[in-house]
Amino acid sequence: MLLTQSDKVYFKLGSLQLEPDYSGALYAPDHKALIVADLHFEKASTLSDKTGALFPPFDTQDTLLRLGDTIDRYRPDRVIFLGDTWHDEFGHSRMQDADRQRMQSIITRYESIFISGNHDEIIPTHGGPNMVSEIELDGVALRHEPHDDIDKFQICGHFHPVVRLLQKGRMIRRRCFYISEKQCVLPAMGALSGGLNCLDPVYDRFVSSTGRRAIVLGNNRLFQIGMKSLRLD
Amino acid sequence: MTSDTAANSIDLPELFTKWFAKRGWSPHPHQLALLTNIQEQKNTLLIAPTGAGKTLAGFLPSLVDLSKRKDRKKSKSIHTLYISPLKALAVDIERNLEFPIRDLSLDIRVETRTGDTPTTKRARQVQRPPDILLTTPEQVSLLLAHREAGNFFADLKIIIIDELHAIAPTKRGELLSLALARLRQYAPDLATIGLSATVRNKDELRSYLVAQDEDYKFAEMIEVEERTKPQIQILKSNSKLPLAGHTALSSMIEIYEAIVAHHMCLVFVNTRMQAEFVFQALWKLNEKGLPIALHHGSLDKGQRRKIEAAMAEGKLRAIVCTATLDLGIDWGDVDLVINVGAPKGSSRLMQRIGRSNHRFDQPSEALLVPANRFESLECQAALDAIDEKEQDTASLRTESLDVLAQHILGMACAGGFIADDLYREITSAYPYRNLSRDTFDGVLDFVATGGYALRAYDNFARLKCGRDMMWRISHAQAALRYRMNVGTIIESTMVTVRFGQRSKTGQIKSSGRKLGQIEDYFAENLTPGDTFLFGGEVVKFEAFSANDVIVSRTAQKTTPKIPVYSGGRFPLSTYLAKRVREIIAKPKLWAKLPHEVSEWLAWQKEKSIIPKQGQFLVECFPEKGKYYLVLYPFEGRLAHQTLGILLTKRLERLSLKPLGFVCNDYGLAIWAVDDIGKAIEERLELLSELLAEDMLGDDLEAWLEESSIMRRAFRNCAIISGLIEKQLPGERRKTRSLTISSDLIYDVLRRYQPDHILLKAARADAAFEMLDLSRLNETLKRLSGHIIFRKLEKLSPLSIAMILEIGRETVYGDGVEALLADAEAEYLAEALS
Repeated sequence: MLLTQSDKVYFKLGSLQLEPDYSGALYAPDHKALIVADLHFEKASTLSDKTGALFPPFDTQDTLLRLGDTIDRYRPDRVIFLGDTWHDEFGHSRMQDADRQRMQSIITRYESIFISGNHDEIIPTHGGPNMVSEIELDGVALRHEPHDDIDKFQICGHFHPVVRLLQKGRMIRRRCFYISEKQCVLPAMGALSGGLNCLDPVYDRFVSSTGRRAIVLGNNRLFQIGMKSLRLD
Repeated sequence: MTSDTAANSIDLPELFTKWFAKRGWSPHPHQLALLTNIQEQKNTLLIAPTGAGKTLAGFLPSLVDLSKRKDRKKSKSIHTLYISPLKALAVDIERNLEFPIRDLSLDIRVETRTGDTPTTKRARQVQRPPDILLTTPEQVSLLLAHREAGNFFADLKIIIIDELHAIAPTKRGELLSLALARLRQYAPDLATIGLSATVRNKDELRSYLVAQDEDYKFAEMIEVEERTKPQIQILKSNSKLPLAGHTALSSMIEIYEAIVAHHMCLVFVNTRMQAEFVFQALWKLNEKGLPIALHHGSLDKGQRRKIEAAMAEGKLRAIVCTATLDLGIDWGDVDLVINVGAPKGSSRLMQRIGRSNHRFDQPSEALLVPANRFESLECQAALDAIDEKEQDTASLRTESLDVLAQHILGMACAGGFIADDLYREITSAYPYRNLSRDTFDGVLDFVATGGYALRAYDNFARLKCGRDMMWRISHAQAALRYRMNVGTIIESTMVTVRFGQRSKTGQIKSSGRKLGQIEDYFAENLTPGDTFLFGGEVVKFEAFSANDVIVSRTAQKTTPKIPVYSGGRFPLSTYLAKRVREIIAKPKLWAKLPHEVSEWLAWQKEKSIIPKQGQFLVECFPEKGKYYLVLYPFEGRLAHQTLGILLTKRLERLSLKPLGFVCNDYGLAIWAVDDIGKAIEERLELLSELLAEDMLGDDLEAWLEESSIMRRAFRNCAIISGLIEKQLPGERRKTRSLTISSDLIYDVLRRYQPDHILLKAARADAAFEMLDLSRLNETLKRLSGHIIFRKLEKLSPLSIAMILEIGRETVYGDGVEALLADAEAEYLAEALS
């Protein structure tokens, strides 16, 4: 159930207490674990290489700065990367030196668990012993792509949920956590990652229809929005 | 030069003189003058009214030259390149040229090349070029990016640009100017012909046609005078002219009567919404069941072609249409043009009127139908302007960097270039004549490596400079993307509207007839059950299905929630605005106006004041518990909108608590909680402070950067410059994994490289096109020192038209976060209850 306490939003999946953050990260206080999904480092350079269109190469830096800021605010023991941390398996080799150092300092200071995603199944340098396909926290499975099962407790990424809503004649499109009584889909944290509307039928395969809602990322806070207000793209 | 002197020394072969004689025609002097000019290789601008045989004049030099040709087999190049803004026009010309070529037994091959030309035909055209190629500006750029371009254009002798007045002032015109610069390299002795309607900026068009170097250069000009004066009337309606509104509902009976009294009418309106509205209103009156059709840019293409064909065959009595029919094929039989609403510009009105009576010797006939009293003033102003032959066509655009980037990429695809040479070539194009080398190098770097401060892409650059100093394309995919995306016309994302069918289970299927397309943003504001006018009928929105908007028919008498198509809202031209101000300032001129309009102005004189010429009126008054500040700059809606944003910000800072503002083409009204009038009365400098010129710097930029105007401009620049791809309707999902949304790119770029070339280009566009910043700047300069202020007890007659617009316009000012908080409160309230 969703609770609001002094500006912070909490919810529980089974017995796992969770605290979403406006950065798009999800904090599990009992485990001192910060969960982040779909950072898509080097998306710009990956696509530039592939298509010949030269996209602004500032995405990794921007994403890392936001990640660093979130870590500073929560001071967790461990950081769980929920897959698609790099946009492709060679992304790491294209990182700017400054970005590589930023990432290295996170990895050295915090226990870093890399769950593999569809974009980064093999990450040669940073995967190592911590590269896993999924983990479990208090009976809740954490994996990049969810299993199609609306009765299982799952935390996942991969879909980059966004809401679209019409308020006073203006259309708003924002990233969000998409949650139900048993599942939580994390928003993408990558600066240049697009999104898939919460109302897309694909979510029905793994998001239980009970207790659905969107927790929308604002500039410095979260907004809880009911399903009724949401619009399709 | 004049037409007469040229006619004496012409070289028209006997074949042609005999042909003219046989048909009982004699060539117009301007046709012969143009022939002589081109034979002397003089680039020439031909300005002539519609019906003057402009097109035949344009092709005569080519036909004559080709008829003298001895050996046609050798050439691997085209002889004449005809460029038109409309595909349909190119196809129509092909048909029209067939006749003289066949009749004269000339061995000349004419072909078209447009977006619809099959690939096999295109390939063959490059292998075996026709003598005369009829095409569009985009296709010229594509041909120039072809490796065979050098051969294809090697013996090009003549370029004909049709409707130059319509192409030149746009980004499309800038792209074409760069193509012309390249064509002149391939064929240095070619002659260029520009065909144009009457324009204000003749010299600009003359320069556009020729290479610019240190000195300004102009093409020769041949001007054909209008032989007859158009007969234009302003409708004197029997019913009262309203103070506000744009529907002209009260005049529909008179419009219908005019249609009945004529053979064939074009009924021009300014927006698609008005087109839908007028069409419906006319059919309600159509007791005789006259064939009246509707034509605007949202309707399905097939349907539009059908209507055009029916018009050409003389099967229709009237078409209600928007700017989509401003240009195009001659239909001959139109004997009346009706312009509903404000004319907005005298040149546009003239061109519309020219659509009637395409016979040179007969006057065009037109009827102007103002929809409110301000529009009545504007109609009179336009009439005066036409009487005095004053034109107000737009100035040419210059130095669009996104267009330049597209061209540079194309030139690299064509086989490469040396930067110094390309720079010289580009600055020979009139719109880029003042381009600095620094800017050119910046754009070149953008094309090559993205132009980012972070030199991340030097390894996989799109262009690389070889040891021979040649810049060449180094990314095969990039060349392919260039070919797919060439051009400068970006339409807003459109969604298809079609009828749905309800299955037995109540499910809606999207299998019904396609009605046309509407803007994405209009569609996304629809809620199931909403009704709107489309294609002349009221339809009900049912659901979205994939990329389609599914609608159903509604009962006949439903009042629709009217669509707000963005298409076709023109700003008032500066010239016309000036004339409207003049009419108001001189009570002597009021006699020309309809009675209720002069009465209304007299009432204004009594209750407030009539600003004299050069004066700028500001009024303050209370109304229904709020305090109003009303200004009348007469500078057009876009400029007023900008002024409104700035003024509300200033008032906020002064704690005068503005609540919102509304504007139209003539002025703007701001309302507030506190008595603004009293504050001004207590300290008169306040007003000049509020309107100080320096306001353009600070506030506006911050607002602009966040605005959707800027985001849209950025998106367009990103597409034209080749950063992101054009999205065709229905292909949205396919290409998603290979591109990035322009909004995300914009945000990142703004944060990390605010001086990036694309942001510069977008800012220039937003300022030029959408906000009319330069115009506002002029206004503020004009206003300073000429403000007259009136504090009134209640609203003034002039202000009523504006106050009545309140509630029809979205008011600016709500932050997204505040809206989200509202949505959350709604949700929480519901969850708790």
